[in-house]
Amino acid sequence: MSASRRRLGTLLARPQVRFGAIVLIPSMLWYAVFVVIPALQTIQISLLNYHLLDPQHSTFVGLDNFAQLIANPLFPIAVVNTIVWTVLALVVIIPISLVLAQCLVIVRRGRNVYQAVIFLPVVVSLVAVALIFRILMDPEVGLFNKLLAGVGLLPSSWLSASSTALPVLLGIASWKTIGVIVVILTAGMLNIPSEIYEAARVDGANGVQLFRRITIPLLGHTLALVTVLLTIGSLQEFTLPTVVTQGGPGNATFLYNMLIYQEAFVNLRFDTASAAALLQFVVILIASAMWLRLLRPKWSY
Amino acid sequence: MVLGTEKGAGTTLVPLETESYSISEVLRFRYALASMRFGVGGEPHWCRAGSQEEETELDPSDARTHGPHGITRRRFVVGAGLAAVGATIAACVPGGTATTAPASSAAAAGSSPSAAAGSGLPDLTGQVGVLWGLKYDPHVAAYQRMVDLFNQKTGAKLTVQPIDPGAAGPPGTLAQQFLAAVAAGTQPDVMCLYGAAAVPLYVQKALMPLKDSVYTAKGINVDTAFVGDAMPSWIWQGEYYGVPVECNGVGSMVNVPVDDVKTAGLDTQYPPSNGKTFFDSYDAMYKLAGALQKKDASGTVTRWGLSSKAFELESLAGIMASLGTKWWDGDAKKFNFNSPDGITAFKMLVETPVKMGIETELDQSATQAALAGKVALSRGDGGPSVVGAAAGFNFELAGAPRVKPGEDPVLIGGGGWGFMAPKNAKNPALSVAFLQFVASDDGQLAYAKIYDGLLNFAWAKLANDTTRFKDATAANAIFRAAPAFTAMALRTKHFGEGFGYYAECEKAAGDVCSKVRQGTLDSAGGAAELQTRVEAQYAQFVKDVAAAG
Repeated sequence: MSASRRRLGTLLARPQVRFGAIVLIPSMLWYAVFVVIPALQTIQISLLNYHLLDPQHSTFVGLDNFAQLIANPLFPIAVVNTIVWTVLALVVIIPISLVLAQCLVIVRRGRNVYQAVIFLPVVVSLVAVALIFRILMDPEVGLFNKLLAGVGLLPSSWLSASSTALPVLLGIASWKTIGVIVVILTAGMLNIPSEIYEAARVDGANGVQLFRRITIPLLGHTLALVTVLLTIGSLQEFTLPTVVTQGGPGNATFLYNMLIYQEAFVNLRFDTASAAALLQFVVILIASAMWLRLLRPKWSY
Repeated sequence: MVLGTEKGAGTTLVPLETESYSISEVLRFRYALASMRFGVGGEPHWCRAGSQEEETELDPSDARTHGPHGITRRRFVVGAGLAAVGATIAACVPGGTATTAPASSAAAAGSSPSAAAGSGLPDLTGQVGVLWGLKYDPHVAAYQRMVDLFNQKTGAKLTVQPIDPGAAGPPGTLAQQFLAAVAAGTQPDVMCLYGAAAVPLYVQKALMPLKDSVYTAKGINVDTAFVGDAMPSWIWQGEYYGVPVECNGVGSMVNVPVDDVKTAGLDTQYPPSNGKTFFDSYDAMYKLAGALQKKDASGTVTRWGLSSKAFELESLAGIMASLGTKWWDGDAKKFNFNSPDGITAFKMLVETPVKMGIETELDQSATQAALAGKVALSRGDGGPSVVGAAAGFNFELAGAPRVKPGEDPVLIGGGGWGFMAPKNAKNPALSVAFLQFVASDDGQLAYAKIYDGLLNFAWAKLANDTTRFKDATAANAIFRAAPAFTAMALRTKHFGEGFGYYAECEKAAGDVCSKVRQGTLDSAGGAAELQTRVEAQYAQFVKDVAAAG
């Protein structure tokens, strides 16, 4: 028996290895059955004219499903809406979260209480949130329009107008999501060594300079993480527009994931739905890689 | 050895070894789990005995070696692994199809083998099956009523399994669930489905043909047995695939708050208070809507006069048909939205009332808005008239306005709910027998008792029936609405076959009407965009049909 075989045998005989294998194998099986195989099947189905009831007679059609997807009048609408949604989410949520996280870092007394308050929307039921906001934003009798009228402003149509529905929906999403981002950023900021701030203060740096020159650069890893997470989440947004507006008014809040759902589960076209899902996967992969490359810190501490 | 110790005043010291087996087993399991998580030999672990309320401090010295009762990590892992494998195998074993038979069904199923005698149905004593339907209280009760009667007549053991349609709404989702079940071999024997949602199932060839087995066998002439648009949604390429229990009429119903009309002194002028079914004209409906619109002191509208949001496809198609143009020309395979009559339809349904300031784009359907007190006249389905009383409203039903003076409007619909069976039914005899039962007076009446008396019935013989109503007096809003419903049902025509997918056309019409309401499109633009949308789905539909072979 060769030395390497003996080493392998010895390794496998170790109880830790066997224990690790016993613990890992079920998870890996689960992952394979419910993630890897479906993912591979998605790729396969996206290239077939898929017969759900008679898969053996599905025929290879190459990229036809992608062509059909792009020819769908709702495709460009969903793509544009999703891009706008994602850009708005990044532009709105990250700056606000940064400011809130910085405030939490500065305000040491009661930080946990403030953090809990900011985090509270995250744990509230999305359906309840949707219903509450719909009542508050009712164009005729909603509280928000009463408040606007109270300060002499014109009422808004909120979720009832195509021009305002997407930004308003994003406002709700931001309110719901920001808690998580703030918690991550706060943790990142608290990890920055205080000596660096002290040294900068000795050199005469003011608060804004500390934030710009120390906090933001040293938060690079965390910022990259939240940017990627937010981009992925935004590109896959589904629940909120489905629950609140069902994609309306018109198609103003019709996002890409709703198109996938509609193709698969309303129109029962699993092949074009798979093509759409695959396209989304590629876009998310590219976007994530792009962000990681752009935001990768060039140095560490 | 004492494993339990006192925590808190008033609790009794519990020697757990003398307790029941299950408690000590729970403690063993939990202790072993805690040992694994925090490391053997760590701090003492606290465990709570699940079914008892004592908190128990375990002896840490014991845990370092074998746990409280001699269980080792290895034994735990092996046991947990075996349990996981066992659970997986158990989960993979196909469940029985009739394990949860309701008591009433079970009782009915116990009928004698000769139960089928005289019913015209076969003897199916002991045969089991499953009926899928919408998980919605009145529907579930209706299915159960039918199944009980069927079981009594045949001796079968059919059971009801309601299906949750999910957030996306029943029609498409139920069809998808059905298709997935057919593909997986877990299909029901029969199912209740919205007829218009069956097109994808036709394309996939998922349904059992019923022309010979049900209709010819029972001598049923579909042209006379069913009303309005009920049957055509179950016809595909000349074959029949379902038995309808409802017609439709949505999009053609106008719910009128009759008390408000009376208060305004207009009850002699407008339907249904004036005894007529249809509004004389669109102008008449607009006028009433304007009179019922409410504003606050600042001039802000607090209740809009009219909403026609929902079922716009049916509404537009009906107006166009009344003007003499088919929205879908099945012979020429052509849509006609982008036509003078199509543009007029958009004007009548959407643009004009918005310009008059009596309608606006709402973030909810006309029915929801009416039941929230946000609109006076609600055009779409008959929901406010049927369930409005429970919410404190008194809506009554009128028909869509006449498009041409003196001519009742043509109404267009997509059919309602019906029953069908999968092509690969496990017990075709049972499926066919149930569908034959549905296509009978007894079956239709059993269903028609839904909602305390179905208004949009499919079975023509129910036109003059009052036995289905729980309260057949004028005090009952549902009963009062029946004549208008019947008048509309009898004259409702079907969309036509082969136009494509209902769900996509309906969504396209809703999207485009929303844009016209908001003023981002005018009627001509709306007609053109809708034409593009329905043509795009039709192109896809043609490809799907061709691909299906």
